[in-house]
Amino acid sequence: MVFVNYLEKSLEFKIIYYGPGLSGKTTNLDYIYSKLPEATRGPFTTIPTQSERTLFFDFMPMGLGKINDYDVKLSLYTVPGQVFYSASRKLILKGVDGVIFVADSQSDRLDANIESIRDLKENLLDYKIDFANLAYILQLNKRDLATALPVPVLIKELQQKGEPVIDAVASQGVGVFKTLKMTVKFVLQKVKSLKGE
Amino acid sequence: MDQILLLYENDYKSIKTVLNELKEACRARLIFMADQSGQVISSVGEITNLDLPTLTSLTAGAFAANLRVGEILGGEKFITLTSEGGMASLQLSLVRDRFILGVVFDTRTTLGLIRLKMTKAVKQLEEIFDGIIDKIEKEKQTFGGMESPFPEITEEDIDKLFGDL
Ligand SMILES: Nc1nc2c(ncn2[C@@H]2O[C@H](COP(=O)(O)OP(=O)(O)OP(=O)(O)O)[C@@H](O)[C@H]2O)c(=O)[nH]1
Ligand SMILES: [Mg+2]
Repeated sequence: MVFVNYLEKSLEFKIIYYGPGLSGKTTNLDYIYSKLPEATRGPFTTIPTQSERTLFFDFMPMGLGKINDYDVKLSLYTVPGQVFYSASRKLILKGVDGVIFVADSQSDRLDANIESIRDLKENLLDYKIDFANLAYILQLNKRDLATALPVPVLIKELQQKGEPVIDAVASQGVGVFKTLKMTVKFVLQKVKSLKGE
Repeated sequence: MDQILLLYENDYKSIKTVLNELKEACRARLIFMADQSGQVISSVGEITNLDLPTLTSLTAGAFAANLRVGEILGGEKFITLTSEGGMASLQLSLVRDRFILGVVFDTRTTLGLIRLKMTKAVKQLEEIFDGIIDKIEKEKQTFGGMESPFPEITEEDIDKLFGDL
């Protein structure tokens, strides 16, 4: 939910990293956290299982600069990718303004990516969030691995609606901010018009 | 936009007033309003040394999970949630299906009093939020879109937002 407070002059919204288990969602957030100056980042909260997989969600508030005198603030979340946590994933999607789909480029994860996109769309539908109108970016992660499928193959299999596709190696920070910036841009473009539908 | 909340000065002040009155009436430490997605809407009280967005994102998650558990058990909706601890306790309540009112309190007061006073505050807040939502819906219909505080957002604005990152 985009939240505009006229008195305190702030604009806030929620961005979620979605994708199959181990695709690198938490790694994206870790990297962002490590690069932000302390003044603009909130604490990084993670609710992991004992084996460091995400159990409920990761969360980080982040302050950006100003637009038209309004402070822009983001809430960044990751969902738990493991199939088992489907119910939690859905809860976190509530009120989302932008989704970054973190795909795992490895060939043996192709089916998991496809299944996770299907799961995303189904959950959005339940919340009556219009996927066609949602700020949505596809990140192809783990480009450094020899087992990564070629980009055109992944685009053909995973791209849903002509969304921007960004190559990434999240563990080295490659493509991480590029992805986030693009998503923020998309959300802001929607705020610009504030149309009902 | 699928969902947007525009909070004008007057509504924001009315919310603050309700929260302040509630805080006095039940001797709470901290009172907050959040959206069900976890975004902070307003707060009053002791928030030093406390990261409010993290608190609300976690409580919203716990609250949403609690609601689902209620559904799975097939009973009525769990519209309140109590977490009691020695130093601080927390009472949450749903407001008009879309917002959460949270009260952080300690041994200076009792859960009974908190629950009683919250019921009244929830009603007042529901009226305020109904007004806000009405206003947003009307504007959407009348103009086919609302007056945005950000009519011009350029690529440069967005680049500047991120500075050197
Ligand atoms: N080689 C390589 N490894 C990566 C990359 N990004 C993440 N990883 C590794 O992949 C593993 C899983 O990353 P996480 O970020 O924890 O995955 P996740 O998507 O949060 O997983 P869940 O929480 O289970 O949904 C970790 O060991 C990361 O270091 C990448 O770009 N290249
Ligand atoms: Mg994770």
